[in-house]
Amino acid sequence: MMTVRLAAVVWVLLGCALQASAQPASQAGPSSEVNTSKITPSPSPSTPGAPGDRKPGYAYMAPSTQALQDDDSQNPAFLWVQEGRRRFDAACVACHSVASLRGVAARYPAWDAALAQPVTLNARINLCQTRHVKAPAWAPESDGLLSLETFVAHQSRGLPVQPPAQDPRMASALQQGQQLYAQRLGQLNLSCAQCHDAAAGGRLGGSTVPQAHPTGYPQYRLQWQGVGSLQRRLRHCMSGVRAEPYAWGSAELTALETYLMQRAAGMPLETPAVRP
Amino acid sequence: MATLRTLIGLVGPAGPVALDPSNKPAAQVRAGSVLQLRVSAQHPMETGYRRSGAGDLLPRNLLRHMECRFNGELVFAADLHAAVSANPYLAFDFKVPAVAQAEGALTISWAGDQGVQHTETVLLAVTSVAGPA
Repeated sequence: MMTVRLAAVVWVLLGCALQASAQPASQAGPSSEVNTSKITPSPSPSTPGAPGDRKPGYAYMAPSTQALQDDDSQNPAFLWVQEGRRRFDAACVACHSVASLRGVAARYPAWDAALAQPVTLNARINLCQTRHVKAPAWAPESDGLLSLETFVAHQSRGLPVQPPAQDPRMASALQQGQQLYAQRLGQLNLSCAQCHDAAAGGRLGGSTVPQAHPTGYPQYRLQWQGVGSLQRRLRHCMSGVRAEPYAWGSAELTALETYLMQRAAGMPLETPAVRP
Repeated sequence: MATLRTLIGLVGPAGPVALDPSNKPAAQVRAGSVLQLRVSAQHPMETGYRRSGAGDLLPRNLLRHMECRFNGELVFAADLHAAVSANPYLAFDFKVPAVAQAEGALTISWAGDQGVQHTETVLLAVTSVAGPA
């Protein structure tokens, strides 16, 4: 039984590797789908590939899934946006206006002076919850936190990702994130870059491997039948390579998110995205 | 849990419009026109056949029935079963009655397992045939 399962894993990996290596040779045109930043060093290590080569996961989806995301009256994530609005109106309007939220999500993760560390958007919302609302912090992926984060990030839909690259305090997180992105993990001994840079556009089983630009979080995944955060996605990938996922809100996940947002700088935010 | 989170939308000639329940009309519709209504509800639609990680049978938790009425008259009704996905989405056509009325109340109600009962009412301003959408 175990041998059969191991053999299946080897086949999947072999298929993946074969496709990745065969693609640039066999396809002259669409090979731009493959991010070549691992092969050709890009001028700035924090923005691999020319902007034109970058594609959001949206570009790899079936037209029916794209239609689901495009139409707000069909996009199921709006159930969370609506709930986030209700919670925002109940607890947050004492200090914040809806208009002031525009562009906020595009600038995260950002530095928190009191904690002296970078924080993600959902960590910032949770800090507000404990510091100003004086309520207990939400658990990771809890309904209140996800709805509020979805509502807040939705206010930046269409705006380009603008991570605080000029902030020197973010430099070490950015560097750590970049290093983690390239670090092999788990029993399958794979790094993020091996799939999402070298084999992006290829197939893993029945799914297309996207370039991993986190432009639509929190997003509705048909597989999850609900909305989830970028951390849930990252932890999911780590279980996929049979590594022990970093803890919710850990410095490692924040660093990875910092790097991924820098890598996606300039791409428009889609929140709330729908993904298969 | 007794209530649900729902979304109600309407597709008219000008495209989709979200309808928010409140005491003033959420949209203008033309008497006699045919529109598409879209409703969805946030719900796990647990089948009753699955087991948790610990091996216990997860109790069935389904939305069983949904109906839509316009001024009390039935427009659309559906019975939902275990094969319907989580967060069910239903779209159906609705003909605004041709009889002249200034306003109409669209009522969407849901009923389900574990005592779920939820009703939402959206007001529509009805214009005569010559008016906008």
